[in-house]
Amino acid sequence: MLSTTTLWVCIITYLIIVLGISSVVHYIQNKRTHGDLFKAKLPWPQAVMTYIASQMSTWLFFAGPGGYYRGGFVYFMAEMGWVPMFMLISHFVLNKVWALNRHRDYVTPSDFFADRFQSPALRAITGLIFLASSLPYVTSVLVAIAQGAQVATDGAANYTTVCIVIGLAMVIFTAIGGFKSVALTDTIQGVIFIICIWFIALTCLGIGFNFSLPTALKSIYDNAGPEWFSMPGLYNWVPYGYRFGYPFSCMIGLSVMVPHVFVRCCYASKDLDTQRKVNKLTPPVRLFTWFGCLIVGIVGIALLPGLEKSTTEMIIPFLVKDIVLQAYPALATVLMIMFFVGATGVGISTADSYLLVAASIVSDDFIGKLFKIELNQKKKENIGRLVILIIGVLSVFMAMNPPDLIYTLIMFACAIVMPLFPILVLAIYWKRATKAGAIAGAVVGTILVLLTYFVWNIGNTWYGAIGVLGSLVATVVVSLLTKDSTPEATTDFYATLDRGLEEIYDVDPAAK
Amino acid sequence: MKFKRAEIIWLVASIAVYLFFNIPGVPAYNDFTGSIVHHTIGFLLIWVVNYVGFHKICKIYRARKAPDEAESENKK
Repeated sequence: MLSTTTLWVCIITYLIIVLGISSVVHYIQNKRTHGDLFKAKLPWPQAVMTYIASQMSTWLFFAGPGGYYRGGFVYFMAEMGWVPMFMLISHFVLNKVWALNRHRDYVTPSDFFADRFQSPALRAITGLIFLASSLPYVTSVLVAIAQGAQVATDGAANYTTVCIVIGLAMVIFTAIGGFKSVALTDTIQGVIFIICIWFIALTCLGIGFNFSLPTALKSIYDNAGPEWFSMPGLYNWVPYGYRFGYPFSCMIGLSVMVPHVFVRCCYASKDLDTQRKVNKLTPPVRLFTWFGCLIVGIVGIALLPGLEKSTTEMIIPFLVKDIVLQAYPALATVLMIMFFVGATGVGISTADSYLLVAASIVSDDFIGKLFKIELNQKKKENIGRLVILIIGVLSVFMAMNPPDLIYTLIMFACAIVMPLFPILVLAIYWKRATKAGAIAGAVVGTILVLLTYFVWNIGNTWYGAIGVLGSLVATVVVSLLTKDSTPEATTDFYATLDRGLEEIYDVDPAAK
Repeated sequence: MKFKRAEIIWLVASIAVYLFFNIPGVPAYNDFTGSIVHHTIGFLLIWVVNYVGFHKICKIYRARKAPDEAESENKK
């Protein structure tokens, strides 16, 4: 549909814009504050949008609409059931880490675990787990963009070339800009891409069903079948195990524990008001955005039922080519460009966040704190840039042999970090939790996630849920069997936490 | 860290509603009406419980103003 020339012009124009923003922010940051590549204190609009945008990733234009096409009404509801739980998790867990961080100045997710348990080994293990989650996530972005380019150009675009160019662009953008510029471009792009997905959704709904959602739903009921509205769905995609395992994994993995999200919801807000705005505004923003994806899925299954499972994630370009192009050819071209640039932008924005946090894990956790090599800020950032390059190259190689669904890569990245959640909760609430317990929990949980995926072959049903249970049990049992080897540090940790909470909260004395 | 009663009620209510919404076996496979009713009620309950709870907690745990901020408000 699009010529390869148009495609490359779109990509290059987009890249020039984001690189321009990135360079300006980098210049201002260095001029004013000698800002840190890996951290920033954000005002609320940026804090909210960078949190949302960091999870949009390839979900917005690929995995989401494809998932709703396959999984139907139940799948959407399963997702929206965990979304408001973020407020609960935030109050009881994340805001406490945030209060503590005002005194501790953490950079990487592992900093928290290493601080609480005073363990270089735990720093190394958690660092490796967070790093392991980076590769599939960044790979998913490259796969999605390259596949999207192929569909948009009717196969004319070369998959490998697109992967390499986009991979290179990610590396350059992240290495130049740093956290602050990634957050700023996340904010701008997040708003634009929400508008894009709704424009695409409403255009397709308008052309297919005269803007009537009930008519589209009736068409699904009559043509595709009532199974789309119930479990296990048309594609047998939502059986009972999945119906529990999937939302649980999203609630823990996707919305909290993946490393680039963790640093955003635990470290990045500039004050408590900002933190609370992130807590309460992100659920409705997510509901609104994901509802746009649902409309695309609804129109897709209503107008183009019976797609192969592996092609459902390309439902947007299929709708544009098969439906919009017949009625309005010029509009179809605009929509296809919107889809491709949107997919590229939102993917790159998430991959950047991931690359940045992965770089900070290596330069800060491993080189700085684990191997205790003294580095000045400049050297630390250069090592970070090298790590960004290495992970970018590895992701390009992984993207050469993609799985059936992009969704699989995203969910594995979420599952592998989930076992660290019980350790996080116990670290805050259970003084008796020990270093040995935390290490046992991290190791047992991760092994269980790997077994879930690669031995028992139930990864696409339970994701990281079994790993979370294993991690919880192992941490508690081993903690009860061992003693705290650094009681003074533990006392100091809890004293700092209490002080941090006292400083941010003015508690109503009348409340019981 | 001691919890306030409202926090405990919020925690228990949210987890209970979440389990009701996600518990395996409910509704039955291919039950069109059951699916619509279960998911609509569950969806509304989860959102309402979480927002009401969060609102109440924010009233109990008010954000403490920074000393300079509080001072400038007193002057007004």
